[in-house]
Amino acid sequence: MKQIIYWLAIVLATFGIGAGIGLGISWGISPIKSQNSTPATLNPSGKDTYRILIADNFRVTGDLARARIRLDLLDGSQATNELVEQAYRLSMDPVGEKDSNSLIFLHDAIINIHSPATSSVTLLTNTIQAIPSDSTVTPDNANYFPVTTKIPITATETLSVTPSTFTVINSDPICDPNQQTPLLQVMVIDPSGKPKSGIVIQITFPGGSERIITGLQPELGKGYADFRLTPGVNYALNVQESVGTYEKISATDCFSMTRGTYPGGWLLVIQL
Amino acid sequence: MMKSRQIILLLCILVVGGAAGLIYGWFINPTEYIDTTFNMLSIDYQTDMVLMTGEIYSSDLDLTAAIQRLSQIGNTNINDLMEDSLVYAHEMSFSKQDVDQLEKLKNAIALIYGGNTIQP
Repeated sequence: MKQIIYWLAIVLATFGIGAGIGLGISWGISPIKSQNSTPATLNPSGKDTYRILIADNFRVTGDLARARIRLDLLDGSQATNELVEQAYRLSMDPVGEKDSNSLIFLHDAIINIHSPATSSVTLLTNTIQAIPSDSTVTPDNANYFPVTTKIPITATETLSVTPSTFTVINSDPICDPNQQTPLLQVMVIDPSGKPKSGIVIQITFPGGSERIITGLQPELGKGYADFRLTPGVNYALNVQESVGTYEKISATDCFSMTRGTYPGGWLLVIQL
Repeated sequence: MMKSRQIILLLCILVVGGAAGLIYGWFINPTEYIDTTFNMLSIDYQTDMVLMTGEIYSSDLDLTAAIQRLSQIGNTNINDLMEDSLVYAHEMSFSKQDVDQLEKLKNAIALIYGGNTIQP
């Protein structure tokens, strides 16, 4: 009996060693090379490049159905968030401004199509018509490939693009003695009062300018963005792709018993 | 001391264990790839990227930008990439419009660079 257990242990141990060697080879030393991966597995840099390609393509074709399918394959349910996040990163770099604009343009088109309250994209001065195409797909079809499956795109996805104006419907000083740096807080809403994310706002000041994008701090609201004000500096605000400028923004004077006079910020509510 | 027959038996068990490990690691639960590159994409996605580039080129006629985009896709030369994409497009019966875009870009590249290899 003892000998049987002894031999059983040796057999199992030998098998285990063999299996361990096999796994070491198949997982570590010589794993199967993937030559059939999907965009979802691309490295972050590759995804960024792919996203820009999709956005640039959408800009010239206006084919929103294809762009959305491609984005779904790349980022899944996070597609719109990834667009805004990348646009924000690129907006920090002057070289990336064109790409940033393309991403925001696509993001806004998707959001507008999703929202029945707004049926047009107000970003450019020219008109883009979605090119009728006979190819689209259902994203949950694993075998799907955009250019091979044929589903007609309906006319409801035609984008009518017209210049827009913005209106500052409310501006309130923000005096918070606990806030060390005054903030320009901006809330962007659409005509029905819904917050709008992905809106690029250009803040201009003597000697430079910066861009902020709404929706990057979702905990503060989809239409929210902020900017640190330097006391004594005058700022002007533009909403990108919209007409008009809101000028003479500067830190306001506030007073509290604990801090005395100190610089405060502003809360602007902008309606597009 | 083990007899030679027992040693052979254990070696056989070792080989069977190794084979089981290989089968499991290669076929049942293979390594999941993340952080892949464009040249690891399947041909359909690569073709889609080429098609997107072709559509952009048809609009802006910026061949330099188109080649820059294409150079990011494959580790083969761009002529091969264009050829592979066109073959795939024909095989999968892409629409005439899509095939035309691919051919237009391919011809533009051939016109400028002839048969020269364009390496990424």
